[in-house]
Amino acid sequence: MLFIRSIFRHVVVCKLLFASSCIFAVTVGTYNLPPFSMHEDGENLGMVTEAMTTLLSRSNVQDYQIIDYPLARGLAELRAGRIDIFYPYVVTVDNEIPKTYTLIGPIAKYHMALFVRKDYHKEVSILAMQNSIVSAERGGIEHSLLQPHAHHIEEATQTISCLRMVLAERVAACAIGTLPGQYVAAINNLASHLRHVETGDTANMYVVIGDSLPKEMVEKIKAAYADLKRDDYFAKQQNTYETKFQLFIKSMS
Amino acid sequence: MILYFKRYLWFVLLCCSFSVAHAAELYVVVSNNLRGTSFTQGEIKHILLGEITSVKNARVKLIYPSYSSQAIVTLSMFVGKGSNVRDLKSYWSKMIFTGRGNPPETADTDAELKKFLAEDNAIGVTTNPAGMNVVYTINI
Repeated sequence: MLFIRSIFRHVVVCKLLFASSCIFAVTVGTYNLPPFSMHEDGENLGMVTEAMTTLLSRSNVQDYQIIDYPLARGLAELRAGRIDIFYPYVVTVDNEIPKTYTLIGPIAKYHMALFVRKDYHKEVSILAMQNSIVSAERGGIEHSLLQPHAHHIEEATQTISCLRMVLAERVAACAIGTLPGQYVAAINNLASHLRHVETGDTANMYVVIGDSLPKEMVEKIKAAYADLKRDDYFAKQQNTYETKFQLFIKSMS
Repeated sequence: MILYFKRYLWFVLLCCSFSVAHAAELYVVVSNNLRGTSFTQGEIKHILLGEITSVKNARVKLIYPSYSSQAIVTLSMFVGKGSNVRDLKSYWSKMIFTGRGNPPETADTDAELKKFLAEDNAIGVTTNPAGMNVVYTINI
């Protein structure tokens, strides 16, 4: 009995030690939208992840963790104070955030496209598909971009399910970012069955900082952003990333 | 009795399909300048994963079979990425986006593969190595 108690005590102590080693000063949420932010082959990658890592390192913030979330969930986590920073944040009518939060950016631009089956021969555009059913990721950026056009939107839980709904002919098109759509289609062997058309709708992506961070840290992050912007870091990073992305798409085709 | 026979038949068919699926043989083929070079299994794996990037002091040009072929599944299993090709793609995604490696070319046909092998230091894989320099046989 004493032996069991001793083991139990050790387990509790180990758990406490483990838990304390996992507490980070800053928690950053990123939208789990490949190729912007993704967990591939055991590593966190992507343009958004790289941008955040650089921004925090320039701000001398070393003690942080990055967690990927679906867009709506990430924003909910920020509002609940469980994360301190979220990127990317897109300003739309339906996702207004408290005035005490700080927006930094715009850092990058998001381009929307409509993905349809290769054998879909009708016109592919927002206007031409107004009477068709279009799928979009629940709470995603496209959802907000589509709403003003009064489409019948079928919600998908993930990017991959949005594309699969098109292949299964449950919807006419999947509205999604050009790069995310191409990436997910390529990596899941769907690219040869789909084609896409850019709609021309774009969204500016910002970093949003919640009110949980101390003011000095927010100021440091703002200053780091200004420095990086002056060096044209974000534009250069986007160019490099797009080159790598084209290489990736070419290699998977 | 019929029920028993049916069950037995299913078992036999299952075994056959299993052995067919796993009897895949893949050949590692090289350019003429690498003919006769011997590679260990470990070296071949590292080459196919883009971890060994040069052989004989020259950059290796790696050629994969099409990502929609059965051969890529065998290759993926051989390099330790499992039978789901998505994992192999995920690996290359990491290599490309972190700048650690360049992705392999893909050859959809043997004719295309031969064209690549006409250049020096090219290493590819095929199920049909007729007329090519085989340096290693992959059995899965």
